Amino acid sequence: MGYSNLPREVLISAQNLTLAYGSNVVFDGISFEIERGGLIGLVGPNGGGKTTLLRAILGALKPRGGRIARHGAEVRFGYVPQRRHLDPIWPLRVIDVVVMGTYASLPVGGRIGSTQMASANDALDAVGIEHLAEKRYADLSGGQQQRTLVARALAARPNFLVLDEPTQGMDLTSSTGILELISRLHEQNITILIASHRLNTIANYVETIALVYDGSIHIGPRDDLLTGENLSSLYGIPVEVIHGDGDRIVVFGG
Amino acid sequence: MLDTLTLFAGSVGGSLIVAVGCAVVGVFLVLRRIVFVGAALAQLSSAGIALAILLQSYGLSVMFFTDPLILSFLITLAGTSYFGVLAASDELPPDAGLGVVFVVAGALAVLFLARSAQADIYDLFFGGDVLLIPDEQLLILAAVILPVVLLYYLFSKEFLFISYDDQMAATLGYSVKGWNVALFATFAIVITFSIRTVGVLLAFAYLVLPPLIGIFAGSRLDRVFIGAITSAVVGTLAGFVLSVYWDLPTGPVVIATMGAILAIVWGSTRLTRRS
Repeated sequence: MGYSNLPREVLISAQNLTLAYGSNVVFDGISFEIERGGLIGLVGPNGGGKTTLLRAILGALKPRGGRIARHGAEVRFGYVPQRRHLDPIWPLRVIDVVVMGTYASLPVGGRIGSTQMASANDALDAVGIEHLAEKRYADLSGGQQQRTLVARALAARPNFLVLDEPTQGMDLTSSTGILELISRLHEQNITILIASHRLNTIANYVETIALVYDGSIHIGPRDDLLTGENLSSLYGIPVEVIHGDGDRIVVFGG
Repeated sequence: MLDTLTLFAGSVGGSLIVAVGCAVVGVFLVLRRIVFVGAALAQLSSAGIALAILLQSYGLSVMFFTDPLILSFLITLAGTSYFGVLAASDELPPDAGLGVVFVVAGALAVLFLARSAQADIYDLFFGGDVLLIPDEQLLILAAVILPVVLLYYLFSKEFLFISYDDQMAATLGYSVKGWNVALFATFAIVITFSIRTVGVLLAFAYLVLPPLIGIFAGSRLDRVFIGAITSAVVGTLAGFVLSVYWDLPTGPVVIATMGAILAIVWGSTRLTRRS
């Protein structure tokens, strides 16, 4: 996954990877590579295994078989979970949530100091919501919450940002704002992997598409993979890709 | 009022230590939506006490392991390890695991007592007389529960992180299972000693009511803890005084007092939001 003008450098490689929860095998013997500097869209239906794959890449899920390896210089992950994963009952301000991204820089039992607060404020500034620092996270709109979580991931100073359904439940304006923010972060040489079940939402923002479907993964440059023929073959239904103004619209059942 | 509190100074002191300990761990129980863990651990603790009583009634004594407090703690600790692993596992619905422990431990406690000749079921579930806390137990409570409260201060960010977002915590290298087991071990310690001191009903009330009051009253986590501790202390002191004044059982009066505080705070919060 990942194509750019820079020399090809593999960041993550998976070989013959098997991922499972109990007796439920989600992936069986898949292999792929993620290159440094890529902007990759991981697309598939709900329940298709996108989050499972993300968790394995992040090291939060141990493979049942095969291996997943990090290469080259240090990989520093920033992770943006699905918003619904975070319980709104917790009485946390935006700054409280963002500063969690700095916890890895602290020893066990270490207290949050001015360095961590400065990093958190810088991250809030980077995503344009520094004015919301004292607001309660649960009271924010979906787009503001998503920016908060991106800020938290940035506070960890990552070189690889992983986002799980970053536009879920958002209106068009908020979705576009988040995806443009992600594009700007990619321009700062951060490798980005976005998981989404909405192909049309991210198709025009990513360089590479990884289609997850029925326990398999198909990866390629966006323009090579997003053809009506490929998608029809993959999903088993008629699919048409319409081009216009440099953008693509995928029409299922067309 | 002061006369009442002075007369029962030891009992008031013991109850306050229990109140503060339960209020602190209860905040995490409520915010993680695992209040039922508290109930299940209370049942496990009761089963441990009942087993110790049963063993003693048959003359079976294995060093200090058959002391009701020790055996209860060990069994509750084993249960918390199970819950800690369960919370970080994707293989079992956590509430199902809790349900199993709750009913099985409850049944075992009754069965153990039915076979022993030294105690009855009433003593087990409502035992722990608030007004008769001996001085030595006061010291034990202080030595055990107050360090747990200190642990919550020292490891607040770790407990918060693995509770609020275990996926992000795992991504940043936190041992979610390990911290969960540590957190649940603190539940075991506080619940075991609290039940032995003030009984199941009051201990469970301390675990739930003050944290809820703190959540309704506080907009930030630190203020939630302050609200929980304050309401637990106020509820205990007021409950003692009112129970003497009205000549009513102390434990239920303390619970009713905290319930009244909860109703007032909840009502005030609703009114404030509307206006």
